[in-house]
Amino acid sequence: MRIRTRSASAVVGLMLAAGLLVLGAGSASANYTDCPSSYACMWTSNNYPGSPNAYYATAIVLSSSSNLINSISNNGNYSIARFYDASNYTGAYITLNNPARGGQTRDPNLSSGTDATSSNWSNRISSANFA
Amino acid sequence: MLVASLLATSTLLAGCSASSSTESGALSAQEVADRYGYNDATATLSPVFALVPQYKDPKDGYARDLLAAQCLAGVVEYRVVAPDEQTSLIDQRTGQLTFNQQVAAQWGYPQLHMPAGQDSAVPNGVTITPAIQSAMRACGEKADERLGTPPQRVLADIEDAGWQALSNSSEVQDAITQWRSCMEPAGLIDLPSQPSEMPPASVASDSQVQDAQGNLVPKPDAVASDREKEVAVLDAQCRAQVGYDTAVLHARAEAELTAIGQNLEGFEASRGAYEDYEQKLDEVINELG
Repeated sequence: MRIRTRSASAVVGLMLAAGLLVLGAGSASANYTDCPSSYACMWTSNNYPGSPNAYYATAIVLSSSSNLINSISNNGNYSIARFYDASNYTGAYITLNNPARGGQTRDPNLSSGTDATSSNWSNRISSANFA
Repeated sequence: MLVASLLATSTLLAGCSASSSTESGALSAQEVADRYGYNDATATLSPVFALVPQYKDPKDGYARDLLAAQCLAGVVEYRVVAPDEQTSLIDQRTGQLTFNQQVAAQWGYPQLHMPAGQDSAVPNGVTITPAIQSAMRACGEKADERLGTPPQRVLADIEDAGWQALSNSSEVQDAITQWRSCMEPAGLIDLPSQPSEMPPASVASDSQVQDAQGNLVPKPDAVASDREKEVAVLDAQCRAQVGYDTAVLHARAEAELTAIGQNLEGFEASRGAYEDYEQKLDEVINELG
């Protein structure tokens, strides 16, 4: 796994903070394109509504949104994003490909599983990383 | 397709001969193990990985990366790393972290200190513009046109059934109880309820930072402290001593074999389809690898 600099996180943090302000002003934005380039994003609601509730550039252990994620998108540079049931990148997981690889790169409703599984993944994700 | 059809037919015939196993006609876990020669006393992989070598084969990603690199030539660099050149401590096939006493002594908890190995895809620092993004998606669609999608849905559900069984396994729960006793000398005030939740904040705080939303992300270039390594080594020793990993594998194996027995036709069809899919991957790798 490669490590990115903190400056990138800071920039995206500002971007997302700006997005939250816009949402607070009543924006109807609801699209996976709100996930910044080089990041994978997670939303607690279906269909990627507005700014993501969690995002990461290398890896993340969720806190307040743990077991509450319902839609996900991979907009990262890496080849594959993994989303784990357990809190420290262990146990069952689902994946999203880099868009250039083909296959699945986002999922709007995890309750019906993903392209790769019919298992219900609503409110299950606790950690995620790139590999 | 022919292979898949023959397999499906043989499966149906075999299924008929063994249909007396249960009232529903499903094979029992033991019957499935016997049928495929799976022995969980010696196995290192759960049944779905052991019996279907093509399932989640890293060759899938490799072939797709080769196609992406060719397709994106002149647009953006797309790096391809062969599966045997990956340096990650995450098993590229099973997706699980490698954790044992040797890893613990060197890295502490590996998820906090991933080695900076070569990774496939777009290099660090390259900004993906909307035009590049569009080209990447177009290339992905071409890859799907050539390869199709991996026939993993049935197998992934079987694998998930295995993971779901852990919370109901008395063997796993006994191992966890023993592990907690074994970990007492570490003196952790926030020892998690089970090994899969290690390390706790008191150990990981020097290697993680909170992001703007309160989530924990790895601190760049963090080195494991002596304390982290000490706890990690004890953790690895305790897991081995109480047979935690073995108990997890047993529970997963039992549940996966049961799930296979309940959907033998789907399982066999997936095995056959994966053989066809693997041929397409090999064609790409032979052409571009």
